[in-house]
Amino acid sequence: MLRVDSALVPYLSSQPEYRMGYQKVVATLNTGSIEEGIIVNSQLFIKEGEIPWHSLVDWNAILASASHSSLTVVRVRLIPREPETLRGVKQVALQHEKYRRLANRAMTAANSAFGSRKDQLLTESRQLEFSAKSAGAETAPITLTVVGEIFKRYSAFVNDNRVTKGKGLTKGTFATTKEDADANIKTGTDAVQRYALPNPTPASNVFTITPPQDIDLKRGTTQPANNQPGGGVEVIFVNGAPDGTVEGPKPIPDK
Amino acid sequence: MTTVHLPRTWTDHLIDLPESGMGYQKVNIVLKRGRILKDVIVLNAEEAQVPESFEPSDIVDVHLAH
Repeated sequence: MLRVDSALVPYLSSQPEYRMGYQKVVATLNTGSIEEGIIVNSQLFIKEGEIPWHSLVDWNAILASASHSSLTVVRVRLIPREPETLRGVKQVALQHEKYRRLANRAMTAANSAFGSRKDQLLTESRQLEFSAKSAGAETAPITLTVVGEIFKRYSAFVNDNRVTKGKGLTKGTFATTKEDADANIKTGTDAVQRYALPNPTPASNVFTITPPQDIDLKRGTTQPANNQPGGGVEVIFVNGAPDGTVEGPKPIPDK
Repeated sequence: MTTVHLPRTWTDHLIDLPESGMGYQKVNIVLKRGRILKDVIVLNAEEAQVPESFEPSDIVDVHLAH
């Protein structure tokens, strides 16, 4: 059992679990060696074949024991849960999240409103609650951006055609989260591998996207493709991003 | 594999369509005389990676492959 570098904890905490309570990863150690295993609670790495973590009872003792080793996990690539096991749950959950959030917002506004405006907001809230409950029938897993969320897009092209003249994004444009990018992408070649890009030319031009709140977004994990491992977080700006939200490109090393 | 640079009209058409992944689209290209190039990767809505070259002016339709 090894400690996970504390710098990775916020990233791991924001990523989906493989099964309840743990994430499956390919870990790079501070020695440069690579091991496959699981990470429990974003803190403890257990190599494949080691003692089952469920049988360990004293969490603090386990962490203390792990801290005796000079080895630490400094980088991870998450192994995504098989998409067929997630699809239904994820789509329903994300649809629910969008409408639930809008419903709560309408209810909050109604609580501080009066007269016909209050009635109107209450009706709106009830309709959104209904949508939240029935959203599972829809196929697209759409959620909303939150305040302060930042995304990155990697391209082999300086003149990326998905970036509009007004510095927005066109509909259906892919990107990744800042957290995924910061933790995993140092070079354009890293981006090709992690986002399974078909173009082997390093994607060394980085665009930074800072959308406002409530932009429609699909979130997922890059599946292996194009002879690349994938594993990165990918998002789709379903209806694009408004003008003035894209900066760059800023170059990173090819290799 | 060779690269064919698409005319601007087709680039503009592809920019309006969603991507298949970061920076690329997988499309079918319909050429004159009914020939169809399937599952072609187009980078940045402008560079089509095709098994053999063709005249860009022969393109009659480009649509997303599913």
